[in-house]
Amino acid sequence: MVDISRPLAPDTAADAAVSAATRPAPARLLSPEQGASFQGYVRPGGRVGTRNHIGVFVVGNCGATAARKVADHFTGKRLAAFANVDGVVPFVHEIGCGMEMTGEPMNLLRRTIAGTLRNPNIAGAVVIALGCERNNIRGFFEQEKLVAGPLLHMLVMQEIGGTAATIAAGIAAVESMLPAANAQTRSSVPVEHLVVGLQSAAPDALSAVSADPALGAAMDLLVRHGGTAILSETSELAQVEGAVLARAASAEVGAQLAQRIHWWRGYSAGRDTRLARGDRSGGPGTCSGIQRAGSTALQAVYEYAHPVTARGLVFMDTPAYAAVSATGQIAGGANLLCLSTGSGTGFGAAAVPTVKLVSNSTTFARMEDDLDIDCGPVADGAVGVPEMGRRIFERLLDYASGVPTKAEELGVGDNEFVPWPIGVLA
Amino acid sequence: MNTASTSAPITPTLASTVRPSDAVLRNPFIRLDPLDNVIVARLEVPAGTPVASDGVTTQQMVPSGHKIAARAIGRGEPVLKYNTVIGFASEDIPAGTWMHSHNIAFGELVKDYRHGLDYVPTELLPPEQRARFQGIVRDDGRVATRNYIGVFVVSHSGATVARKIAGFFDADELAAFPHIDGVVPFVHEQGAGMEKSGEPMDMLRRTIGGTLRHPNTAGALVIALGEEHNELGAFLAHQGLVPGPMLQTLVIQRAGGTRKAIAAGIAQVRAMLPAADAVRREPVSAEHIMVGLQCGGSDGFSGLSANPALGAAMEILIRNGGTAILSETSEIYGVEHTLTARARTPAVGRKLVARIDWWLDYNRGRDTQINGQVSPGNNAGGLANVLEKSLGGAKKGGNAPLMEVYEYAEPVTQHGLVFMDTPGYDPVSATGQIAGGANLICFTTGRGSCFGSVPAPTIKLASNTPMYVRMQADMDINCGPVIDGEATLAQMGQQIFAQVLRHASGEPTRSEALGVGTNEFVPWPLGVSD
Repeated sequence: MVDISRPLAPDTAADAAVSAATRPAPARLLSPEQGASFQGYVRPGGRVGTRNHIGVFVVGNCGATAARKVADHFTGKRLAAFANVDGVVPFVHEIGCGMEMTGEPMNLLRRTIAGTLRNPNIAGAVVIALGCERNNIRGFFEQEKLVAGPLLHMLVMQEIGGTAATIAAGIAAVESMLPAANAQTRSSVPVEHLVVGLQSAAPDALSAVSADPALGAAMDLLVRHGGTAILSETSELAQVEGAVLARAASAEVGAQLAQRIHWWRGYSAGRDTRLARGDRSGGPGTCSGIQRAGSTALQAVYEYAHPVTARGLVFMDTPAYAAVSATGQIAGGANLLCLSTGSGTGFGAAAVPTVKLVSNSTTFARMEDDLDIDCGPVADGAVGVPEMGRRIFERLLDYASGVPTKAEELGVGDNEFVPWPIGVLA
Repeated sequence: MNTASTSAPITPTLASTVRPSDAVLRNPFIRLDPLDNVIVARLEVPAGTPVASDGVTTQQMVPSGHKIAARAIGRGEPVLKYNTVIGFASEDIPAGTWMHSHNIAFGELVKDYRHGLDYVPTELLPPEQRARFQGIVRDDGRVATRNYIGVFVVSHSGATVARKIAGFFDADELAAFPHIDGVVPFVHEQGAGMEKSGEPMDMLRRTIGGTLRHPNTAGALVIALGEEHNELGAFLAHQGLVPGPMLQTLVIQRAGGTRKAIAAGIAQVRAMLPAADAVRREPVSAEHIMVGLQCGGSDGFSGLSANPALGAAMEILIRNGGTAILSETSEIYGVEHTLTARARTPAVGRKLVARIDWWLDYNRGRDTQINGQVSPGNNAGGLANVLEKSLGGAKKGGNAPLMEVYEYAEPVTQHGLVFMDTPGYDPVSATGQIAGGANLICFTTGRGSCFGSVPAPTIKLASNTPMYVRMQADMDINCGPVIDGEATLAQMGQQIFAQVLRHASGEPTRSEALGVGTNEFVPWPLGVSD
C-alpha cells in the first residue's frame, strides 16, 4: 500500500528498478580473427597511441608563455627530420595557482595534467613551473607518481633563471627527446585498443535524427570489436536520467551514475545552467546525447579525468562544455574523439584527433574546412543509420591510423586543453 | 646585555653571485619597529650566530628572509612585526629561536575598523608642478600608455581563430605602422559551458568590455562561434558597444568555419591599422597614470623592500594626481582595518569590509590563503601565515587615504588610492584592474615572477638582489639595495616613480621585450560549469 503522506521516492529509485528490468543484453564480441585493425603506436605497457606528440605542460598559468614559446619553436621545418613526430604541443591552462591547495580541485587538476601526460599519444613531455605555485611541481610529481627521466623533463623557471633561460632549456629538452620519439613507428593493432571520447557541440534538431544515431551505430561496432567508447556530459544527460540509468550494466553502475547526477543537481542548484533550466539540446523530448552511445550497456562510471580501464561503453562525469569534457576524456586515456554537431564548430583537441560529424549537409557545405563526416544523407533519407554507422567506423580506423582530421589540418588544438575549474579562487 | 661584544663575521651560505654589502655583514638581521619581538634575517644565518643589535644568539639555522625571536616570547603572546600582530606563539619560545609557521599560531583578532576616522585628504601638487610623461591622448580625454589592436573572443570557442589572426601580424606585417605596439589576442576559457545570466556572466562581460574600451586598445575585433552562452549581440548590448570601423565583429559559423574566419579577421584588422597608427605621444600630466598593484611569489623581503618602496612611489604618484589600485582582497585579509581607518568616508570603509565578508563566505571550508594557508613558495620564503603576508602586501599602496572600493573589473573613476576586489591570483587580479582602466601594472616579487600583461604593460620589482641577478632578464627594478643597506625606502620610491614615468612613455618593460602577456588575460571564473 502506498503511503501518500510521504514524498514520492526520487526518480532514481524508480529508474533503477526499470534499469534492472530493461538492462541491455551484453554485446557479442567478435573473435580476434574476425576483428578489424588499425595502425597505431604500441607504447611500453601495451597501450596504443593514434598520434605521436611531445607535450609541453605547465603546473600553473605562470609557465604558459614559456610553454607556448617552447612548443612554437618546433615548426614544421624544424621537425622535418623527425617524420614520425606529429608535433610539439603546449598544454597550458588558466589555473594551478591562486586556488585551493588540497582537496578535489587540486586533485582534479593534477590527475588531468598527469593523465594527459600519460596518454599514449604523448611520446615525451616537458613540465614547466614558475616554482612557487600552489600546484607545487614536486608535490605534483610525487602525488601522480611521475619520475623525471629522458622522456619526462621538469623545468623550474625560478631555479633556471627566468623566461628566456627556461625557453632555451625547454627547447633543448624537447630536442633531446626527438630522436627517441621519432624511433616510434606504427604497427597493425586490433581495434580493441581504440578508446573513443564522445562529444557534442552546437547540436541542432537533426542531430537526433542523423549524426547521433549514426555515431551510435559506429560505437556499437567499436564495442563489438572490443574497443571502448566514453559517454560524458553529465549536465546534458541528466535531462534524460531514466534513459541513462536504464543503460547501466549492473545495479552498482546504475547507483554510481545516479550519484553523479545527484551531485550535478546540487552543483547547478540556483544557477542559470542547462540542467537547472531543463534545456535539452535539439529541443524538448529529444534524447540525442544517449544515442551517440549506441545500444550497448554502460560497463563502468569514472569521475573526471580518472584512468579508463574497462572495455566497452563507459561513462565519465564531465560538464557538457566540450573543451572541459574532452580534456577529461583524454586525461582518462581517450585516443580518438568523435564530436557531433548541427550548426558547426571548429573544435579540435590537442594531441588526440577530433573527428567532427555534422547532422546536415547544409552546415557541412558551409563549414567543410572544419567538418570531417557529413551525416546529412541520413537526414535526407539517402542512407540508413546502420550503413552510415559502418562508414563512420571505417573512417575512424583511417583517422586512428594517421589520416589527419580537418582540425589537425587547420592546426587547431593549442587552446583546447581546459581542466575543469571546479573550485574557488584565492 | 652585552651590547659591546662584536658579532662573528657571517659567511653567507646562500648560493649567491652577489657579495653582501658591509651593512649586511655587520648586522644580518633587520628590525622593522622598535616594539617588534621578531627581527628578520637579511641572508641565511647559521645557528649559534650572536646578534649584537638585540643581544641574542641564533638557536637554529635561519633561512634568508625568515624571522627569529628578538627576546623570549611566552606561549600565547602576540608575535609583533611592524608593530602589528602576525600571530601568537604556540609554545614558550627562547630568544634567538627561528620563528615560522611551526611556532606561530594563526589566532582570532578583534579588529577596530575606525571607518574613516583617520582620513586626511592628500595634498595634491598644483597642476603646473605635476610630473609629466609621454602619453597618447584619446578622443574622450583618457590617456594611453600603449597602442594595441585587440582580438577578443566572447567565448573560448573562438580562441584558435583569435590567436591565428593576431599571430599573423608579426613585426614584418606591422613594419609600416610604427605607432602600433601590436595585435594581441585576448582569449580565455569561459563564455561557453557556463551560467547564462547572473554575476558570473556579468563579470565576464564587463571584463571583456572594459579591456576592449581600455585607452590602450586602439581598435578591436570581437570573435564569436555563433551560438555560445555569452551571445555576441547580448554581450555588445550589455556593454553598450556599437560596432564601427574600429570595433568589428566576426562570427565563425557565418564566415564558413575556421579557415575563412581567419582570413576575414585578418582583413578586418588590416583595415584598422592606418587609423590605429595615426596617433602620436605628447607630454601629459602624471595624473593620467593608473597603476594596478600586484605581488606574486612573495618572500620575507617583499614586505621590507619592494612593497614599501612601491608604496612610497605610489604616494608620489598620488600627490601628482594619479591613481593606484590596491587589490587581492584575500591577501589584505587581517590588515583591512589599516585601510578602513583612512577611508574617505565610513561608507567606503564598510564597502571594503563587505567584500572581505563575501570572501570569507566564498572560501569557507576551502584550503585557501584567507583560511590561513599561504602558498608553498611564500612559506618557504619566510611568511608564516596570511596575516604576515597581508601586512607586507598592503604596503604596496603606501599610506594615502582610501578613496573608493570597486568590484572586479568595474571602471575606476576616482583618483588617489582605490581598492578593487579581486582574488590574489595574479593573472585574474591584473585582468580585473586593466579592465577597470589601469594603464600600468607594478608587480613586486621575492621568489621571482615571469608575469606580463597586455594592453597595459607590467613593471616587475625584485625584493632582493640575489633573485634580481638570477632573473635579471625578467626584472625591471631591483629593490634589493634597501635590504643591502644601500638605499632608503624614500630613495627607492623616487627611483621607481621615475621609472614608472619612463615605461608609461613607451620604454618597453622586460616582459614586453620577452613577448609575455598573451596568456595572462584571465577573467575571474566565478560560477559553475555547464
